[in-house]
Amino acid sequence: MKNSTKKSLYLWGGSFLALGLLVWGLARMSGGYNSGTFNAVPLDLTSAAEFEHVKGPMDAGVTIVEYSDFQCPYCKQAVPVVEQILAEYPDTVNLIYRHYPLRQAHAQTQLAAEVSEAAGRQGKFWEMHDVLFANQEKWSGNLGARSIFEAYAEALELDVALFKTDLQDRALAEKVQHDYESGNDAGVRGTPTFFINGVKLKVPSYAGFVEAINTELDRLEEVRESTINAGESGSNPETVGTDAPTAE
Amino acid sequence: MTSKLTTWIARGLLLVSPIGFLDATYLTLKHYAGQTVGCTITQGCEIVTTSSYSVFYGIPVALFGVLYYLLIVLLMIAYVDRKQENVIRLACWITPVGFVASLYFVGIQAFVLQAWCQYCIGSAITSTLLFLLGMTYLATHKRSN
Repeated sequence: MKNSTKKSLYLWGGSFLALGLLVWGLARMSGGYNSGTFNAVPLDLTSAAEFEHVKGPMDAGVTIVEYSDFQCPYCKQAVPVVEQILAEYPDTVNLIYRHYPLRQAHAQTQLAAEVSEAAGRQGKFWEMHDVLFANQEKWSGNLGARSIFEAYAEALELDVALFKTDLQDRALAEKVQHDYESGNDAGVRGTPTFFINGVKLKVPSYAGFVEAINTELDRLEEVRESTINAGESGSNPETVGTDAPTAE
Repeated sequence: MTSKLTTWIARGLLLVSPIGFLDATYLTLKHYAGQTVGCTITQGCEIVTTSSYSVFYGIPVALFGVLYYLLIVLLMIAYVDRKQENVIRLACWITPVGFVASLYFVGIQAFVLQAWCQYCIGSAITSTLLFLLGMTYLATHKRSN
């Protein structure tokens, strides 16, 4: 091999090796590259019950888990649908709200999620949830969103100073991230995504909800009957369903 | 002809372009990992890197940065390899592309988003340095053949 060719080979090989190593190091340092593949881990409703946001009766047989993004227009459209469902099934259905902020697309969504969590610390998560969705187009894409959110906190009669302090707390972002990752694990790819007792809802329309909920209620009824028939006096009729979350 | 100045410009380009490459790679990796980039020096990284200006037809703009810097890196390695003036000349002619893109993004950060992302400023600095080196080379090396 000619000397100059050898030199070229070392130069290019060395350069690529060095660049490759640097990129590899960077990828490791920055927490790795997420390939975007999701594990189909079944949704565990009980694991994080202590800091879930639950609406409706705690002992409801059917739990809707919603993965949502405050800045997403379709999530806003889904709010009245879910409200209608909760009104339709006041004793048998409850709702859990989980954050799935699409941060690449929505600049203010992360802050909005943290704002709702900060309001939640003062017991007004759902109030803030409603205000955020109702006024979505006022703060979306607005760089002054933070001051708008502070005005909402004031309107909801929160302790604004505490609200601002809470917003500095990394724990809020961690809660949001926890929700987000649980969504990834459950196979959420967009918002809104609903689960009816852990089963992904295919058609998130009013009719779609009613069908899925009725099917689930029928299934629970069958389970109840079979346990009674088996002479176990229905001590735990919801063995196949999930335990209702107990806190918030 | 390889004057002392040429050697220094080549060394400068060879040193600065990998820095820009790594900076842009970091932002691209973060983008595809779906993670927000935290700021340590400036404020508003998450605003800048999640804004609609950070994506161009679904492609993160940082990826264009990666390709741009990588091209310069490769050209400079080729230059070190072959010492052909055309190669470094080509690299210098490309530098305005990165410079203009950086001007645009700095403008977006200053006037539209009013938020700054340190990694984006880092890229603006490296691309400006590349531009200055490139223009110096071209100004001092009029095509002789």
